[in-house]
Amino acid sequence: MNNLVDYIRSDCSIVLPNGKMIHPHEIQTYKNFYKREIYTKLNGNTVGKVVLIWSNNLDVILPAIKAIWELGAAISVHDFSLNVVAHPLFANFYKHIDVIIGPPLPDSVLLDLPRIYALETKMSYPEYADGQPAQEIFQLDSTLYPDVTYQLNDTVSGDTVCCITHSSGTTGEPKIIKTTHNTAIDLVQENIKLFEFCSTDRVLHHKTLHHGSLFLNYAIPAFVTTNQHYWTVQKSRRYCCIYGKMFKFVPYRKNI
Amino acid sequence: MEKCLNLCRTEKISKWLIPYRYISELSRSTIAPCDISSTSLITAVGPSRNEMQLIFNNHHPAAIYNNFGCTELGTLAISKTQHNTISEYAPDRFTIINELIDWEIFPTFFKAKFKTENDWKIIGDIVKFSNGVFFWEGRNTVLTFNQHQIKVSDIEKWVRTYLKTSSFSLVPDFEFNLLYIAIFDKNLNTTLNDLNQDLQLTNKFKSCFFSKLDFIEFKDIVQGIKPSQPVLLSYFRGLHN
Repeated sequence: MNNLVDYIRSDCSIVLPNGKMIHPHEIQTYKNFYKREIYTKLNGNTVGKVVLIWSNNLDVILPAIKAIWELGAAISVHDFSLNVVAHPLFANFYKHIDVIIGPPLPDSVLLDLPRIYALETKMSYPEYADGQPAQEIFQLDSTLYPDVTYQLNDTVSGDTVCCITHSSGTTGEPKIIKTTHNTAIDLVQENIKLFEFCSTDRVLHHKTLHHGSLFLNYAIPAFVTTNQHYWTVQKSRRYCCIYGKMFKFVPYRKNI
Repeated sequence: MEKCLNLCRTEKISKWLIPYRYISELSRSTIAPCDISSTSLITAVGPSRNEMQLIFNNHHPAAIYNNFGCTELGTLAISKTQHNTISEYAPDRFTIINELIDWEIFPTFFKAKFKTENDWKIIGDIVKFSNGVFFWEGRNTVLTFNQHQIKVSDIEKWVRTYLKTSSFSLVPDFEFNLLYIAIFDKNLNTTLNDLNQDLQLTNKFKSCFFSKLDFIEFKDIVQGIKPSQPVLLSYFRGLHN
């Protein structure tokens, strides 16, 4: 390999059942396959590892939330731009990460990154029509998420890490924050209570979904209580909405 | 924001999750009034009381939630404001406390932890409880100007009053004993010279000064999320003012 990009592209290509190899920029064509691919990775192949979700794409975020909530996966979320990631202050953070699902990296970034399973790239959402948001774009289909055949019970307990993120640190020293599954479940349930989320809510997500603290405090509480979500794509000023039952209301191994 | 307002009205949105400080934009006269009386707004940093009043007058939301929290522990305290409680609202006052948290409050910082864990987190914010209400009073840091030790949190309070907004971050550079300011509202009419002149007219801060000032749009950095202190510090060190 001549550079990191070549490495990533070669390693992250997905071989479809018909033998065709697709690259990340072609993923849109195989969107549903890609969702399944991510969920499978989070489900079985990353047991005992921490997966960094570096994406605000629903196709990545939703399987990640589902994997945390229902399977006990370990996740980190990341919303910082590349120039921040390359900052030496954050270098220590990556020691805790085993796998990244994220965007393509430019040639200039030569970080000693962990293995990258897949790359999320462009995702096209329908444009506004006459100033109105397109609706019912996603009818969530539970068949996209295969049955869980790999049980994590033997390897995951309530006091293992659920989320890792980093804080800027009040005094300028970044800190690594680890949240266990038990704490995450309590935190999500407390936030449901504090913000009065309920099953009849229709939620407009205008926040970045993959920011560290927002993920546990807003995104997961919203997604596990109601099935009606609208999501904004800030840069392109487009909107989409999703309907459909997606999450179990009982989290994985609550009573550990 | 107008498109979101319309979406809330037409789609009967019940919860609108708004990024960091964007809620203040709803108070602007350039945004047409829109009745969103079925929608509660959930945000991090609350608007000023005047802005809060304008938001309720113009758009009639069911409620506005803002909160104080940190990455280590998530949401720590919440303020819920409805039309009939605006007079009690203040952006740094929180009446609903996260019951999962144990607290120990000290003059210049506080310790907190989840009740189910033993790991105390030390948070460098100055907070207090008074009659069951939680108040955030600023960050604790000290810089030395002309041999006088000045709390950055005290300067922060002054700036908040002076600029009549909380849309800024003070960025102390402890290594070089300098103070920078990032302002997140380009409509604010101030300059580095203006700010320093008026700061030094005060008796308490007459030896203090800002070394650099810059206007920064949230969206330019991390899509609406507060830029972290190390990032801002790195940015200002490379910035020639």
